[in-house]
Parts: sequence; C-alpha cells; structure tokens
Amino acid sequence: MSFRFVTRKVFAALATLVFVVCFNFFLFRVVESDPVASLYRGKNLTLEQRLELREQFGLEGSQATQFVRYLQQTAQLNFGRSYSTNRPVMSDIWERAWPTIALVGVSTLLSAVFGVLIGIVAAWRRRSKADYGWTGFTMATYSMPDFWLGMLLLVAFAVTLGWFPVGGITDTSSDATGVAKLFDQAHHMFLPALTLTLAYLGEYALVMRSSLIDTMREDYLTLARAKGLRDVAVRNRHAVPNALLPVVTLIAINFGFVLSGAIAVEAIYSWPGLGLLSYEALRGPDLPMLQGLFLVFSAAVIAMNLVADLLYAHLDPRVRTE
Amino acid sequence: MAELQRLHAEPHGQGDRRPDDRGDIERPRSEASRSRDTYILPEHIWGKLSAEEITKYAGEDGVGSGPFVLDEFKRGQYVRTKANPNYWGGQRPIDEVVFRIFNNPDAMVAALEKGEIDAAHNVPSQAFERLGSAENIVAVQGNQGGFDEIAINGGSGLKKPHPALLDRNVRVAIAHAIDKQTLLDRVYLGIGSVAQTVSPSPDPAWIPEIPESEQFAYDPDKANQILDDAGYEDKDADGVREMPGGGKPLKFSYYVRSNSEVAPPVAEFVAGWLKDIGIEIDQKSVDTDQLGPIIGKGEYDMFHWSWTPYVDPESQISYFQCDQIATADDPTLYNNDANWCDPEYDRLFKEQSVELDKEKRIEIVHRMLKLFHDSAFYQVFALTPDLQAHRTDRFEGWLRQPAEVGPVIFSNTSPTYFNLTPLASTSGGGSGTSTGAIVGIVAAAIAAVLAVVYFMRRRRTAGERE
Repeated sequence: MSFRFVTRKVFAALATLVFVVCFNFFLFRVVESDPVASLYRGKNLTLEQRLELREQFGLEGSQATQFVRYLQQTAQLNFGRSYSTNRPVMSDIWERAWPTIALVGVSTLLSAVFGVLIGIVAAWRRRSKADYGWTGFTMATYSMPDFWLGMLLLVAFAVTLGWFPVGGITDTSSDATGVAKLFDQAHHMFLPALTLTLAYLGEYALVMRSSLIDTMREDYLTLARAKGLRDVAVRNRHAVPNALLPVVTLIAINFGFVLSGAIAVEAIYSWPGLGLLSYEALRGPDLPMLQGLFLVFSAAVIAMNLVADLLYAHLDPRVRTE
Repeated sequence: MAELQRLHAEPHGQGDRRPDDRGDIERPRSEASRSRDTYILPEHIWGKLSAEEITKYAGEDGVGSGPFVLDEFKRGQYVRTKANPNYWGGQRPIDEVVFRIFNNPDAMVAALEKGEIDAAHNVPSQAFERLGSAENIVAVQGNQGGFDEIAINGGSGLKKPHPALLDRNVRVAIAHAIDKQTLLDRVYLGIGSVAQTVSPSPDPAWIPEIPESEQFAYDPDKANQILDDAGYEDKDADGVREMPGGGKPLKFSYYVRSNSEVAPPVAEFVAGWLKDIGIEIDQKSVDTDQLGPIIGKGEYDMFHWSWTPYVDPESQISYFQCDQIATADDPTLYNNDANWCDPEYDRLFKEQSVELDKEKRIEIVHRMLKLFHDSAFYQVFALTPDLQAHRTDRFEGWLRQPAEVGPVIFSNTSPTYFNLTPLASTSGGGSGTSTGAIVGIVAAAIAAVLAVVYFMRRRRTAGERE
C-alpha cells in the first residue's frame, strides 16, 4: 500500500469531517426553539435573568457570530453545555459512551461472528435443509423491527419467566463490586445484546452466503480438490478467506456505527447509552448535545470507513493498484 | 426575590445556631406565598462560589436538611438517596430511597409487577386499571390540581389572532362545541374529572364553583345558534362559516404538541366537533419547546397544554396578569400563554396578594378565576391526576398528599418516604440474580461444550465421509 494511496484516503476523510462540522451547525438550527422558555416555564424570571441565561446557552448574537463561536469551540473539542443538564456536552457523551460501546460493540461482534459462521454453513450446503433453515431464520430476524423483537424478548424472558431484569444496567439495590458487579451488568446486558445480535445476524449471514457462493464457482477451488485436499480444508483455506473480503469491510463499517447506539433497543431496556441520549436530546431539542452527538457519530463513521478502505486495500492488492 | 434578600440569620450568642428570621420587605405579601420555594442555603457551600460558578454548581455533594440526602447520582439511570443522620425529625427504618429511571413505561410497570421496584410514578393509563386489580398492588390517582386546557389567543400579545376569536360569541360557541366528558372518557380513559376553570392549587377550596347555567356545557345546537345569531354564516356552502358580511373564513391555527400522548387525539376530536359548527382548524404539530416562542410571538390562534400548580395559588394565578405577556422589549416572557389582559384581574391579584384571611383570599381568587372563565379564552376541560401505583407487600405507611386525594410520591413534600416502615415479612436487598438465569446460563454453557465436542468428532471423521 503506497504512501500516496494512504495520504489520499486520509485527506478525503478529513475533508468529509470538515464538511460535517459546518453542516452540523446549520442542520439543527432549522428547528426554532427557546430552551430558556422551556426549562424555566413558570419560574417567574426577570428579563435580566432570562437574557443572562440566553447568553449562557450561547443564544445571543447573529447566526454568523454563533457560527464563528461554534467553530472556535469545536476546534478545542468544546461543544458547549447541554441545555438540559447544564454540563459540558463532552462529559455527558463520555459518561454514556461506555454502556453503548459495551452493548453495541458486543452485539456487533457476536452478530458478525455467528452471522459469518451461519453464512458459511448455508453457502457450503446450499439448497440443503440446513441452508433453507438458517437462511429463513436469519431473514426472519433481520426483517423484524428491533424494538418489536426487544419487546417480545422482554416480555418472554424478563416478565413471564423472570430470568432477566426488565431494564437498567445494574441492580440498584446491590452493593456488588469487581467481578460480581461485572456479572450483574452482563446479566442486565444479556437481553438487549441478544436483541441486537438477532436483529443484525441476517446482514452478515446473507452477505457471507452470497459472497461464498460466488467464490465456490472459482476454478482454483476445483484445482484444490483435484490436489486431494479435504472438503473442509478447501473451504477454510481457500474459499472462506477470499469470500470474507466484502464481509470484513461490512464489519469495519458497522463498527463505525457502534457509537450511534441503538435508540429503540436502549429505550426499551432503559439502557443508558448514547442512543438514548440522542433520543432525549431530540425531545428538547438540546441543540449543543445534538451537535456534539452528531459530530461524534460522524467522526466515528468517517474513521471506520477510512479503516475499511485501508483494510480492503491491504487484503486485496487489486484495489491499491487501480 | 429582591424582598427576601433582606432577610438574614444571626446567631444568638456563641454556639446558638438558631436563626433570627426577622427581616424587612418592601410591600406586604401573604405569608404562604412568601414562604413557598424559599430554600435555606448553607453558606459554607454556596458562599465560596462566584456568581458564574453558582450557575455551574452541580449540587451533587449530598448537602441537605431533609430526611434523605443525595448519595449517588448516575445520570439517566438512577438517583440514590440515603437517610440523613443529622435530620432534625429523627431517624426512620428506611436507609435509602432509590429512584430508577425507566425510558420504557411498560418495562416500569413490569418491574413493579415483578417486585423489582416498590412504587411507580407516571404509570401509563392503559396499564393503570390492570394494576389496580393486580395482587399486592394499589393504583393511585393522585390529584395535585393539574389541569388541561385549550387556550385561545387573547390578542394582547405581539400578534392578534383571527379576528373572529376576539368576538366572545365565537369563543363561547367553541366552548359549547367541545364535549369535555367524551375527551375525558376516550382520550384520558376516564381517569380524572371534568373541569370548568383553572385549578390554582391542589387544594380544591381554591377552585370556584361555576353555576350550571354559566358553564359551557356541550351543546352543539346552542353553539350553532350563537354563531348564527352573531352573523357568522356559511355563504359559499363549503362547510366553513365566514366573518359577518362575508370575508375571512373561520379557519384557525391549532398547535398540537407532538411529544404529548394526549394532545394529538384531543386535536382530532376538537377538529371534528368544530367542523360540526362550521369552524375549521389547521392542525400544526410542534415540539413542546417550539410552542413557547410561537406563543411569545402571538403567532397562534389555539393550542392545547396543561399546568400543575403549586400549593399556594399565587404562582398559578400570577401567570395571567397583563405584565406576563411577551412584549417587543421582552419577547421571551410567555407565562401568560393566553395573551389575555384584564385590568380587573390584575387589580384582584394585588388585592389577594395582601389578604391574610384565607376565606377572604379564597373569595378574591374565585372572582379572578370566574373572570378568566367567563372570557372563554382559556377553556379548561379536565383535571388530570398523577397516575401511580405501589406494592403493599413490602412497606406500609404510604401517605397521600394532599390527604386522601393526592399522590403517594412526588407530591409537594413527599412525606411517604419518611413514613414508610418495612413489613415484618420483607427481606432486605433487591432481586439479585435469579435462579432461572443461573440455570439458563449453565444450560447454555453445557450446550456449547456439547456442540464443540460434536463438531470436533465430525471433523475427525470428515475424511472417511468424503
């Protein structure tokens, strides 16, 4: 992979980020709102107090003035203060990032691993009962709305059977620490993770199946069999690595979406992640929070797209020489 | 607040921390209104902060004088409070109260039914009846004076409404066209009660009794008659009346708060009823936050919203004074969201503000609210209670505030938490990890091991099969 290739990709990613930063400012100002009025409705503030609050929230000045102030602050990674919590936006985002990374990260990993395995089995035994069964199952779960699936699992396993808690990230009445606390959090995370894993399993399974079926038609596999290699070896050493290319980039891109969370699933399970934070910010609307979240999500997607580009070029030499 | 800043506390001699609460104020205020929402702040905490630091002070250090103080705060998850060892009222058996935040109301109801939580606030109306008949659970309709209204632009703000709405005949006709009982039964599932006027306090003594002959009872025939007599006819036969003498049709903008569960269905009912009397409404869906500036600019004809009053009525009735309307100099002031101004109302407000005899003050407030009711700019249609539920098998001593009619938690001073005692059969601690979960996890682990063994055996014999 040449330095020129990498530099070109990095500059493209940075240019996209700059565009997003500028677009971010104007996007949320389409919605007119008055956070001071909403937060302090009925509080009998004086005019001076209201003007001071508006200044605190950065609502004073023309749009151009606000835009310049926004660019200066963004360059310092200062996204202002949240309208609803009055705390620095980055503090709130940082606090809620870890539950999302844990939940969506684990779910993405599990759905990728199991999806790829299912895709391999379905493709290698295509038109068999195993193929029809697995393909049907993954298509069914993939087509289900994730919030509906979440409610089903919640009612079945948390409410009816009582095997899991109905929401939250931890048992508030427990004093557990260390490993016990981790086990408690894993217990709380099981159902939301299962929901997301099932919801996105089909994406990887279907792509892997399709890619492997294409690869299975290649002549070098016929040669490999002719050389006497066992079927399993032909599959694992020759077919799968080549079929994995599109799936690897899909996984890399999807990891970029980890931070944006899963709004519906986090709301159903009261999982205090960034998805729920986005939903709460949209209800305000909490402009600084929305701006900060949008920027963080966009930066993550841009970064992982760059990783996917470079990874694909590393795995497939044909790409870097084009 | 300018008056109250002149109060000061002085110790009586060394070691005596009893405050001297004598102070001067510029004009007399009734005692109850003066004492509301006035918090004593510890100087050793607040005295160190600059004016700007005060606005950023998070207040999470657990300083407080109540029976419980903040112990732990996980934003978006829970608030844990612990018993205050220095509380002047003594100690109670409850060590801590944890407020868990649920973003899914159905999950909250399920948690209450399972026993994961002991009480729930803002129970969805669909689940309320079911909870009332559930074992070991009591459903509570907690009345704190909250009410819902349809407001009409009173025209005293920055922009006037449709000219027809400045005619009381039209407003009264609208009031007669709205079936409050149906709204309560169909939208609020019968939870609450029909109301006639603003409710300025959880204490119903402050709500005036409107004689039946003066109520705006549902009567679409009467509404049509009023409009006919006032000259609003549908000359072009398009189903919508026009101004007397022809001209502007009676089409009003009606703002619906999109993030309210009840506002959209209420709007649908109102649209239908007003259509029956030849009035068309143009529904505009906005977020609650967006409605404020619209009201401030006066760019509305009608909207639906709600209030929950404080204990003392002065706050609630203060909002409808003339100086609470947005002006060009102060466009962000919109407490008076009816944009309604009546000098007589303002005069009565000042009169009640200095009246120390409660019965006389009630009488003045009644006159004020009757004035507002008769103007028909604020069409209050329901008293809406807080919906709560609590378990009965863990604790006893759930107190309603106001007594007998109020909610058990999230009331004005929430005496429940201090009054609760555990029942003898209650064991400490929470749900912990359920046996079922452990069994499930062990079963899954065994299945995984068996699957690995199976696939390894298959791999060993793959050659023979080929």
